[in-house]
Amino acid sequence: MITTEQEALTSRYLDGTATPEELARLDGAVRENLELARYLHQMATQDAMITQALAEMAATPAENMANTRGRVSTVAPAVWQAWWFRSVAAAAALVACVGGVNLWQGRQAQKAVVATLVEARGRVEGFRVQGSGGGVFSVQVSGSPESGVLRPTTLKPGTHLTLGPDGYAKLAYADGTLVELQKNTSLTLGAGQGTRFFWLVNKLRGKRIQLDTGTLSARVAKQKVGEAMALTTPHATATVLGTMLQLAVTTNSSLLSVQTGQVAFATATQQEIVSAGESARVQDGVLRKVVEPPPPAAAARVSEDGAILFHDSFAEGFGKWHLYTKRGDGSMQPTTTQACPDIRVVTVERGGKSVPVAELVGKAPGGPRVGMVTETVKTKADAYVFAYEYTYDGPLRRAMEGLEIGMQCRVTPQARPPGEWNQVRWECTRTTDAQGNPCLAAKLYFNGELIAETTFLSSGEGVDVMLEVIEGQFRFANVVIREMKKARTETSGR
Amino acid sequence: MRENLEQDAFLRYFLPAQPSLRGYLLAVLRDPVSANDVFQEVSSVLWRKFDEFDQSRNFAAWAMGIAKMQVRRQRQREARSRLVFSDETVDLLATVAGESPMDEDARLAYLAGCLNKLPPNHKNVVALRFQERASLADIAVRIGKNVAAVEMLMVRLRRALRKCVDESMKAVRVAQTGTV
Repeated sequence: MITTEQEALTSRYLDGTATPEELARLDGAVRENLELARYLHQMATQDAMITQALAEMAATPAENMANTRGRVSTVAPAVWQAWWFRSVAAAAALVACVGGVNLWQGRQAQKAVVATLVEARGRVEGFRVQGSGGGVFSVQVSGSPESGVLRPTTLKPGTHLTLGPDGYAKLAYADGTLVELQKNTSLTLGAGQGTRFFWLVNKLRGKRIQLDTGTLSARVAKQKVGEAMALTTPHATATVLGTMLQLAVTTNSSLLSVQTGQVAFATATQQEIVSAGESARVQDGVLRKVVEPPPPAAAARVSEDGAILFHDSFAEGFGKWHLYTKRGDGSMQPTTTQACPDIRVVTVERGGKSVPVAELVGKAPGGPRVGMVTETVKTKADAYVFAYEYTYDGPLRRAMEGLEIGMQCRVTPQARPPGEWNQVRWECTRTTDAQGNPCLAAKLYFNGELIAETTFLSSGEGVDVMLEVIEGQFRFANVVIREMKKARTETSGR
Repeated sequence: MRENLEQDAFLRYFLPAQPSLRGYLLAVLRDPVSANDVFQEVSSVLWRKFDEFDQSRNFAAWAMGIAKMQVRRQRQREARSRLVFSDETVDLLATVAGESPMDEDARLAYLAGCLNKLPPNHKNVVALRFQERASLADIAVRIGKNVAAVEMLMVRLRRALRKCVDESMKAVRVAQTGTV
């Protein structure tokens, strides 16, 4: 038998108004009274069902709208002639109009928080449950990395995604926001439950991601006021209005690195505004900004020979020029990005042979830039390393080479611990290819170890790329291209 | 992609247990947002581990065992000063929730009807509490009453809805079998 007092206590507990003493009393009473335990469970289940029933009732407003129209149509025409009625009708029309806009805004917001899984490799499982009617789905992609592109799959708020040790997934939102998920990542997609009446916002709504573990990189399109995207980890929340960032979560820490824009990164008790180029870490509950170490002396030594031809701090983020995905045959598929809209595959003559290359035009600090992908580099490192020529049509007016290491790099055995700087260096020496054409022999070093070699048909420059390893991922930090007055050969680290 | 058959089998077990699972999580975590987060996690784990489930056993009990582990994890995450039940009570509630589920799907259908029968002012309070997740203090301000009165109203509303659902189910049972 449940007493009136136990009934009230249970209700207060479920409503969050029970005092610590009442909670202790309920706790003890539940342990001693199995019937009370059953009653508490039943009432909590009923609460959960009320929420569900109200949501399902709210999801079918069409009938209510039809009824409303019906009532309006019963007004007699003579009444319309009265001035007071016209005033009331005008006000009602305004309210209806505002309501319509608000409804439209609500629909837009709903659309904005639905993500699409546009790419997946390795093991990627999705899971979502909605309502008593089910709605469970699963996505599982396995096989070689090249076979993972799948039919775009819509992921609604509530979807839980788990990536295996070989997993990779890319999510796209309707507003252009892109989120890349790396291996061993687990997260839940969500949506803010707030509402907005024009500029009045009672609670934030918009995109939500609960990152339980793993790493994600995001390029967040500019979000509306009141609809900031929130990335929550077990330790902190990053609130984003539009930026590029990376968020990595381990058991006891969350590391946020911001490439562009600003992000509010907050725990329950602290908040930091993290700006472009800055990082912040929550470790054991304490939030603090991470001071990035200066580039090691080795980089300066390599570059001190000539004048700076090109420098990019990647403050605007990687992927600024273009992105590549790997085709099934192992070649790289150039992909147009917002920052580099003009990219196409063209055929050029190389050593008497027609070679397909990607031609791209992008904006660079020194003026418009045209580049061509020459070939992928065979590398000992498990990384997408490919080189392309640049032609600057700006003040520099000279050709040079650059390289890009894709975001799917794996840490090589030579990588330094997370958070420390790694050096990628590319050096060229003049030589001739098999057909006798003058070319460059290019060598790629990672922390001093030769990991890749290739040849190019162009003049020689040196490139230093500083990378920071964050929890198993590379992050571009600094690229400096200097003219090399004399070619040199780096001794392999082995 | 998992076989459709396997997914069907999972749904056959999972859907009837789902309301009870939600109820358990809400009972021990109290916060609906946390409860929903953990529900998604538990659902995901159940799906991943469904291969390990012995189909001759009670699915609800198996699910509650997994839910119990996830609740512990969540409680560690939220180790700040939150009011929580003892581990013993959490375990006991999992056992209770793992007992045969009580026609939850039917209860949900009747509950919608019972909600519609509430007077408009009470329906408004229910919407504020369960849809907007307003606190009782907020509700009190919005309806012009004190918190104690709203607390009492919530007790009555919960009781009335439970009674309404029980009576609806009983009436249908009588109509179907001719017995009480």
